[in-house]
Amino acid sequence: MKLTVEDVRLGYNGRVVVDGVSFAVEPGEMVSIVGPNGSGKSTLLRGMSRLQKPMSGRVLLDATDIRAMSARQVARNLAILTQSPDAGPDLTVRELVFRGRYPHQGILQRVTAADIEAVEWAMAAADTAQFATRPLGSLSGGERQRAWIALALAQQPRVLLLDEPTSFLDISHQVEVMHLLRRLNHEGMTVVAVLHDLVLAARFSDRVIAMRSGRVEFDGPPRQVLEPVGLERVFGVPMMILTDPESGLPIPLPRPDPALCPAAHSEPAADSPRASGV
Amino acid sequence: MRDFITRRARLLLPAMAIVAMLAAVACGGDDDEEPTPAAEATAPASQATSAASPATTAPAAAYPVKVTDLLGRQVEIKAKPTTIVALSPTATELVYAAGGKVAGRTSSVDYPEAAKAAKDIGTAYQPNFEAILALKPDLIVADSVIHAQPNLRQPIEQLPVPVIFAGADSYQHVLDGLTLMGKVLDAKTATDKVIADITKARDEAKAAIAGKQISAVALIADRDNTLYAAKDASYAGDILKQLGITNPAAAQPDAGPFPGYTTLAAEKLVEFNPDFIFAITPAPPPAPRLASLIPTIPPFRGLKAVTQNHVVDAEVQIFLQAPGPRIIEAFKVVANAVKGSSN
Amino acid sequence: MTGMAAPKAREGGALARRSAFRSFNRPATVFIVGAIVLCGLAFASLMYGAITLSVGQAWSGLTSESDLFARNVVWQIRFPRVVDAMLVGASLAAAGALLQGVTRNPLADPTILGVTAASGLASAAVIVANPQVPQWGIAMACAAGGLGGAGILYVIAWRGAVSPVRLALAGVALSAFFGAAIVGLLSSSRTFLQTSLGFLAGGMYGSEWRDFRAMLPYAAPGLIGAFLLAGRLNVLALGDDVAAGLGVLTDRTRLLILGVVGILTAAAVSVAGLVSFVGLVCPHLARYSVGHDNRLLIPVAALYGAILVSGADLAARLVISPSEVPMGIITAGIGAPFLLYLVRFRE
Repeated sequence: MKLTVEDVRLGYNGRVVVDGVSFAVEPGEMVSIVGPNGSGKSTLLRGMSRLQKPMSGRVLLDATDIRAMSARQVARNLAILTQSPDAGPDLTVRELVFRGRYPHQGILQRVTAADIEAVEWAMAAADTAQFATRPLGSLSGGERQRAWIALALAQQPRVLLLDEPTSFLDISHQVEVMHLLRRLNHEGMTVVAVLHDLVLAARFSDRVIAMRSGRVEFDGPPRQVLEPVGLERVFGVPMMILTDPESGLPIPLPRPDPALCPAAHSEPAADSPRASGV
Repeated sequence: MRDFITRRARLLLPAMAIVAMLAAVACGGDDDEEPTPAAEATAPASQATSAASPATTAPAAAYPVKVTDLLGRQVEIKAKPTTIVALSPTATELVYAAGGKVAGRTSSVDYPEAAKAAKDIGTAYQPNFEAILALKPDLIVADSVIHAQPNLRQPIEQLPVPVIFAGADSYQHVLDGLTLMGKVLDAKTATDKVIADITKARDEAKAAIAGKQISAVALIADRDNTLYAAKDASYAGDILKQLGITNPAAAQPDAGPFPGYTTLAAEKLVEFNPDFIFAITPAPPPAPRLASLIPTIPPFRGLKAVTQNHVVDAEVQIFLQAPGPRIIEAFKVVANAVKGSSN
Repeated sequence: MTGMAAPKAREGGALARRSAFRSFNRPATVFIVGAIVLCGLAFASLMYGAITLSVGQAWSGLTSESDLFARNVVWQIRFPRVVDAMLVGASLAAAGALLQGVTRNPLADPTILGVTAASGLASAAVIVANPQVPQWGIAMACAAGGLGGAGILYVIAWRGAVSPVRLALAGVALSAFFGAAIVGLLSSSRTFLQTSLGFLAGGMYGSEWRDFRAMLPYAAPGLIGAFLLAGRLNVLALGDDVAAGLGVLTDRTRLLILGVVGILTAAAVSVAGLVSFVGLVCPHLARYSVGHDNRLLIPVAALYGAILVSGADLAARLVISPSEVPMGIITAGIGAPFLLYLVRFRE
């Protein structure tokens, strides 16, 4: 399902946070949105679902404005996972994932065979079946995040939006989640994720969109757009790019201040603390 | 769910009224069918009464009798009631004054002595309907003053027992209540005598006071020691009025939660400076009597009533809680207090 | 990782089977046992009171007219009263469950959040203005008050983020304000004073069929609405963003839920006055019994509410017979210690 953002402006209380952004996400693409704090990435993501109403512009699913569809209809096609969702510690994973069937259920909220099937599939796809009956409070960060992804999957969406799905997770869990998203993407899911980690963005996306001050600074495949000049413009710090020897993908790193972090091959400066052996 | 008995009774009443009227016309040509003024003025000012209720007292057939109670309700008494439940002190005393007795009475009733033996059926403001029904009464005497509210009146009226409402917050009501009980219990002689005694007591008290220009207030105090003074619409106020005593609080606006009483600020009492203060203490002993408290309150020390020792302890049952035949004692208390003064 | 997964899966599977069994059986058991207890309590209410009817008498009073005395006691006095009590309890408990869900605060109930007091104020005002007002008029005034109170709560608490603290403060303030207004009204009213204790503490003295008829147009749609909104409440409980992402119109749903809370509270207050703690205690008990799913929680809470209030009313009639204690004193006597237990051991 194609997701099109058409000249969208978003803001709060008259303050504009996203200022005229347009792009289209083709079905099956995996897109990362990166940028510094306050650049409007989360707001943009929210505007791409029905969580926030644009001040101007439209968002289209295939050819239809999502505002012209009912909330449930949109939810049947598009799922969004926001930052740090909290459902309390007592809910079990299965109970949580079942709630993802809401957009497909009628007024009496009966549980149908289709619901059960979808929940089982979602939990299997997100690899949560082994702790399905455990309460959320007893899970690790990565497991919990996978449970929430299972919830989103239970909606049986074609497009999955995620806002910083790997923040606050340790490395192994970050990898877990990104691998899961990539796997889903390879199975046909369109994925748009706001990421703060440029390395993950480079590794796991087909396309990286960078935002600064509410505007798109660059938009394209990682190999193409992740280069020092553009990155410095976006993030305001000098950047250097290493190349992953195995995949050839860029690994962006901030370039350190030479006075504070001396280069490996040079002696410490004569008057620095290390030289005096402290 | 409808109660079948009262529904049928209500259908029967008009039919029996017509039959009774025809019978009275046919049988007793020169019977006095003109109701006495006291009996016809049964309804209190706030209730309209139908003027077309005949007093069907052909002497030979006392029952069935159709009466109008003090809420203006037409009730038919089919036979002399033998098991009566009274829902207030006033109702109880009216029954006994008509020579009857009660099988059930409310918690606070202790007069007359015989009534104490009757079954306690709850408080006057929360009578227990099951306990009432358990006594299998054939008449309930409710209180037209206490039970006038719909939330009390309706459940009482729904009971499958004939109910008459008889209460008093004035001298006239006491007389009307007695007349009503006289009809209901076929005890006109007895009640007429009580009415005569009451009228005589009032006249004597009035005569004893005549010529003296007396002003007096009747006071009660609540738990916070806020003072309330009786106005004409209250029982105590009406007692004063009947005796020709000037009540300076009568002209005050209605204020405060007690019907017929007005909140009396201390300054007002000082301004009125009545000759007599009749102090009613609702709380039972060992709570201090209001009559002994008033002289100790600094602003009141200079009042005429205090300096001349004219603050009278008015017993709460007689003046407030059990309006009824004991109004005779009320008149005596007031008359004795005033007679003793040389004003 | 994979080596660990296998034994975990086995254990997880066993756990899943056990709790699946329990959760399959639990709700049905709870409903059946609850219904039995409720019927038993209702029948006991027909038997016991200022006078005791035997089982046979109560039964014949209920079903036939052979024993007129028993029939009158049952149909005129006790049966309408216990039906009213059950409906009052169910309404308050459902309202409490809805409030706890929509505010995500386990300490929410209509009394704590001021909705009961708002309803009571409207009721008191109408009775003081016109002492002869019929029961349906009282119910309508209560509904206006209940909706007004719920509306004020919405406006105060849902500007920006809802924090439980903010909501609780708003509720305490509203409750105090309306409560003070009620007392002020009563202290100047000439008609209300004597029966105000039953109203202020919550009592069912004098309840009869006209109360049932007056409250039904509010309680019935309220309870049905509560049951139908349960699914949406489940989703709302996951947070506004998640709920919106799942297709729930969060503001509208919240308004709807508060509206239902308003009329459920109104139905109860119009008959029983200011009853407290039922809406607090019953949802918690229901949660222990059947878990967090509102589609089960709300009906079970309503069932427990019916049991609690009819039980409390029976006790109220027996304790100092033939006089009565206001029933709200007994629900407070049960509810307050329970609240303390919650505070001490659960949060």
